[in-house]
Amino acid sequence: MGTKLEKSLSKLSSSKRPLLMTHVVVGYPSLEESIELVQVMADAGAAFVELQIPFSDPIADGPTIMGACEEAIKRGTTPADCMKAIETLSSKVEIPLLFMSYYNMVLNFPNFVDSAKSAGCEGLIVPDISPGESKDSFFEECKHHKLPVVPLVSPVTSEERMGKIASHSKLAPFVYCVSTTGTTGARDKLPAELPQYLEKVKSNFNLPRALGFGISEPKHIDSLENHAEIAIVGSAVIDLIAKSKNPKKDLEAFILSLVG
Amino acid sequence: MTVQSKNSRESSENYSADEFGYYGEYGGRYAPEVLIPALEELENVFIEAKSDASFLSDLESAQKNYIGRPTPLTFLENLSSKLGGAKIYLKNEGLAHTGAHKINHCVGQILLAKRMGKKRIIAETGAGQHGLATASVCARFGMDCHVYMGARDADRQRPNVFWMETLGAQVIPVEHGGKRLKDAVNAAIKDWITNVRDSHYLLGSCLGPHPFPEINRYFQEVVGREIRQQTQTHEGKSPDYIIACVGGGSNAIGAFSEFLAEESVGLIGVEAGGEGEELGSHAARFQGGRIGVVEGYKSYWLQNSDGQIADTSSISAGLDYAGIGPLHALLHDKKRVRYTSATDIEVLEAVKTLAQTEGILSALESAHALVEAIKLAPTLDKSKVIVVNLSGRGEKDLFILGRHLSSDSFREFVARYADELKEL
Repeated sequence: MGTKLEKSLSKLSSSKRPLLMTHVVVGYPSLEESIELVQVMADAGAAFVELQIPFSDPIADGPTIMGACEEAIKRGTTPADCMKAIETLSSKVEIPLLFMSYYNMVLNFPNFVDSAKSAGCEGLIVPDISPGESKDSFFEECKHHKLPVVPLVSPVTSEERMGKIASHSKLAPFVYCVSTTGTTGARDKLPAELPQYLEKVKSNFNLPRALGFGISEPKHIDSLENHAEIAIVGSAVIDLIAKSKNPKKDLEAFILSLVG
Repeated sequence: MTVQSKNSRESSENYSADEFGYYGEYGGRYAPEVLIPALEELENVFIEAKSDASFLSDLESAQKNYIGRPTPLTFLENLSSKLGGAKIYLKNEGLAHTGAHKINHCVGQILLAKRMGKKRIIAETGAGQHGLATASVCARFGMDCHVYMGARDADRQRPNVFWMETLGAQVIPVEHGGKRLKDAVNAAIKDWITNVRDSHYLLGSCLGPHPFPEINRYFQEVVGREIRQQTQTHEGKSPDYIIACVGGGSNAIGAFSEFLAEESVGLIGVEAGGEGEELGSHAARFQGGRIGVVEGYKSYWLQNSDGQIADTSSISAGLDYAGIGPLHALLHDKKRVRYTSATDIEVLEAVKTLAQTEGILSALESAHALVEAIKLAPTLDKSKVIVVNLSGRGEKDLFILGRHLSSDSFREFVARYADELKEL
């Protein structure tokens, strides 16, 4: 028996359609509801869920997620609440849960890496720190505690740099491919040059490709077959939760449509 | 032209950033992956430009003929004799074109942007002085200029918004967070993330991800070199103290950098003490700030116990910022610079004092440094020399001073003028 992460990743070989990773901001719309929403996502077929620890200054996030973070903080959500949430959820759901946040949240929480690992977190996404560039012990700690860090690449990342990032990311479960230059947020269309970009990623990383930023509809995911192994839907889910009168029911239907 | 000091105690510590952009443990490049190539390009172009004679000659020419360098070092004879101690000199960056030291790095960075072939410029601004300087160099070099400004700051520094727009810049008020400088930096970074292929982020202080702190330091160091030369001319020695206000910290770095290795020169940075000592009532990062990583760099940040960035408060928009340039964090830890703070009330008093004793209008930001000089001078011998870096002039603060200092006639005029405008 491997980890939940290994189990989810093992489905990749049998699935042509990209697996789905969804996103919640812990504490939005409320702490309890965000926990329930993860359960709904897991039951409806999401293969991974990233739980965002809300931070006051989320530099890579667009208005939707930024607003959700602001709201969650206003409601008093703390990083300790997020640790508890992932602990509760990891005993309930069969899919791997990852933490996404900014480095200040990691830096300020005592023994963040160890605590996250012990609470059942199976991976970290921290967009404002890159391996091989910082003096922090963060990447060594993650290695020590066997908590993988997901590397990120963007359409402006050179192949040389991809190679460098790949050499630091041998234990990563997948590579997070940012679809476009821009912040997070639902978009109508994916960039036309995606296939070439994702081909470059494939030839530089020996990892499944997870594409995120802008994916908001089932047809986006259809178009990713053969180009990406995982599709990440974040802001679109939060937009839906914000608008919906019956978030759990609407979310379930949306996830089912994305899973296809 | 730099006068080498003969009797300075040279220290081996030059406080330069290492290859990853760290000053000790501070600084670094904590940026989203999408910005890394642009930061690398900027770093390479900067390194190349520094050893290119034609770049250096363009820079020198712009410093002399556009900015109006050197700015004067003015002896404050009346104030010094009134206080009865050390001699106080003012390095008057307020007389630089656009009214503050910000133009020094704007001229430098616009030359770098041109070299990179960028046509679109993004900037953040607090007091509006960096925005004004950016808008000016963009007009001169034919670049498209977008300035982000916290909505609160855009209101309280309205004259600068007007001038930026007159110069052709688009000023975008930022409605997030505390609607201050930190939020403007956030918004500017997001614009850069989106438009990174064709835009240069003309960051306005010695902060942000590497190489920005080193780039702005390089272009601001001219201030310290002039201070050395001018103090030598007036007094035949180096200053005993240099005092500068510290928001992000660019004017202070500019004034201090030349003297960091000369330990006999006392360096004092003055933060915004705002209205009180509680978190949220001031912007004194060395009074309750903790190490954090925000907006691309590691430094002291005012934050709550969870690591959420705190609100700040200061009468001066330019110092009203929760973080501080990373070199200041190192200079603080090494005790090379002493950091203190001045309250809003002290600052207003200092503006009035300088105006009435010397006929010079100080920006609210720079008046923080004056407060400290006024406290320090009487405690020192008459042979001692203090240089205050007056980073900017005060005209931009018309409406703030109009509220706090004026007689009723100014308020009556504003009300009457508002009525007239409504009828237009």
